[in-house]
Amino acid sequence: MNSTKNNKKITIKVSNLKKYFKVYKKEPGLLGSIKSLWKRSYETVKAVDDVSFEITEGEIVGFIGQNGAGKTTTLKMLSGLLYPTEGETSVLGFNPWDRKTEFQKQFALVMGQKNQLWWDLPAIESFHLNKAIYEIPDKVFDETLSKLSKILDVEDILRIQVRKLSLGQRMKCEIIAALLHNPKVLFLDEPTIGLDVVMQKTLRDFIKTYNKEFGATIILTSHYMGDVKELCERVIMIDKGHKIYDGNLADIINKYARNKILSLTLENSVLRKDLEQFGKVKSFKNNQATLIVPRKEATKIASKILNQFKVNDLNIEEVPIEVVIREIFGDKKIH
Amino acid sequence: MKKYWKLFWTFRRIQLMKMMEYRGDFFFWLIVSTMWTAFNYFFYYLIIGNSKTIAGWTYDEVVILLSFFTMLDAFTWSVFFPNMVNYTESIYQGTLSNLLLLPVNSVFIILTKEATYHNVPRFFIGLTILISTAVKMQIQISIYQILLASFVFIISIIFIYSGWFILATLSFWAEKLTNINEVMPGFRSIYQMPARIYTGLTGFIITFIVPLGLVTTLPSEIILNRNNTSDIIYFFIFTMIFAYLTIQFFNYSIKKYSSVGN
Repeated sequence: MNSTKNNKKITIKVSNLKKYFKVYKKEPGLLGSIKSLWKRSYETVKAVDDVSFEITEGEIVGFIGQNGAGKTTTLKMLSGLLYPTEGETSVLGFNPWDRKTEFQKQFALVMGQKNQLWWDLPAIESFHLNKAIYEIPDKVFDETLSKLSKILDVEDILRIQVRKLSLGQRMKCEIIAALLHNPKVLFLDEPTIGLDVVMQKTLRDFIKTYNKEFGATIILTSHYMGDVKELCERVIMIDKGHKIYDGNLADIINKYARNKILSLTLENSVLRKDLEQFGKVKSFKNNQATLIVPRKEATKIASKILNQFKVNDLNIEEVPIEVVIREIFGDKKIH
Repeated sequence: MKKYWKLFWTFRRIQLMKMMEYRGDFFFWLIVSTMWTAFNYFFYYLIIGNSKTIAGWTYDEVVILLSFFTMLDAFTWSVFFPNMVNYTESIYQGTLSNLLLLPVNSVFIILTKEATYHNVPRFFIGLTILISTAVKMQIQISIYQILLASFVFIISIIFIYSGWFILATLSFWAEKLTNINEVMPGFRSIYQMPARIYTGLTGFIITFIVPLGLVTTLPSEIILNRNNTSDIIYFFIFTMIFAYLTIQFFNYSIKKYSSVGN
């Protein structure tokens, strides 16, 4: 399967993908536990429900959604770890569930909360094991390891037991272990979780470099909008198993933002209530004010203010993307 | 094939390094394992003694069987147990995902990744006692018998490991089966005795339906010049079909794998 989209090769294709889990619901308390011995009630949880999308070669796509939205379940199905209830998936032309060696050698799944390295041994031992598993030639292994350890600045810790490393150091080593075989497709599930801001930045820069250098196709899930903003032009939003948005990150604002931010610096002092007629006053101090105004009327309101008051400075800004996304997930009408 | 051979030894090397990180633990279990083996032989000496027999087997003949049992026990505790414990826990904790992602046959990794070394002396104790008892009994053993006994012993290993693997694979269906890894060790007492002591329906079940009784009896009978060709052929065919079905059951059960949430 080598179909194309806008003259670019489609690397990942997902059609009507579903994954339902049968989950046991226990009544609370001891009585509930006793009852559950002979009678149990089950509920079907639709972790992923009819999701379709296509990702072309070299794209970095952000998966956004709340906890339990179905992001990780989708990644696990794309990796061949979970058997879909319904639907079709194709990654690099392979059906992931077939778990063919040729496919497994070309992708990697990094889960920020899961440890793949041997806990009791230095990371270098896990790297050597991966070398044998992925049949990486000596020269390629040495070059890749040296390059990755230099970029991620871990050359000094490769010979220290993994359990003695900090979370950030471990995460860097996890990334190296996952990339030693130069995968063409990379699934990153919360790669920066629990890391400090400096480490987050280092990893983001690294992911960017890897994408550029190897032309790798990357799907990234993260709760940190910083990761998504810096790395992904395109995002797929998932909520309760459904895809609710697929497009440019910037377009989310155009599509969903209901307000704009109007910042003012006034020459003379005015009363707060004088400004409240134009919109919600977010801050008001020393002749400086910030107003939240309806997006469609922002220009009109700005012009009214300019007519009514002596204004030294006026700025109309978009609402931060984080706020828009928070509003989307909090708004039931969107489904 | 070369890749799997290399991986097999890489796993052994890693486990050896892991063991050396915790040498106190290693030496403690080494002593416990050796003492337990010695006690096992002593227990049989107390029961059978020098003159009595059990189901027509003399004490020395039972020692031959016990030696095969001891060597099999070395595999049980060094290979089967750690791998199966790791396997069932990984299903429950979702860490099986790490193995399933690798471009290597999943069954191969599940069955060979783990190993402990403190039970290795058991194997050599069993082998030494086997050889010394055979010499003491002045048994004439041909190379053919040695090869056949070794072959049947390997079939026994495959049979026990397949049985354990199929039981452990049930974890996909129940998610948590805490004591599943105690079932197979519980069956060890069946093949700690000559199969011929089991008669009637029990004998039929233990020899044909679930041929656990043949596991140590068959290689011992080969060494003792009592080999029963039809039983050997039956045991071989049974084990091969059983091993095949075990792998098919794994491939089917893995669809039930739900991993764990983040």
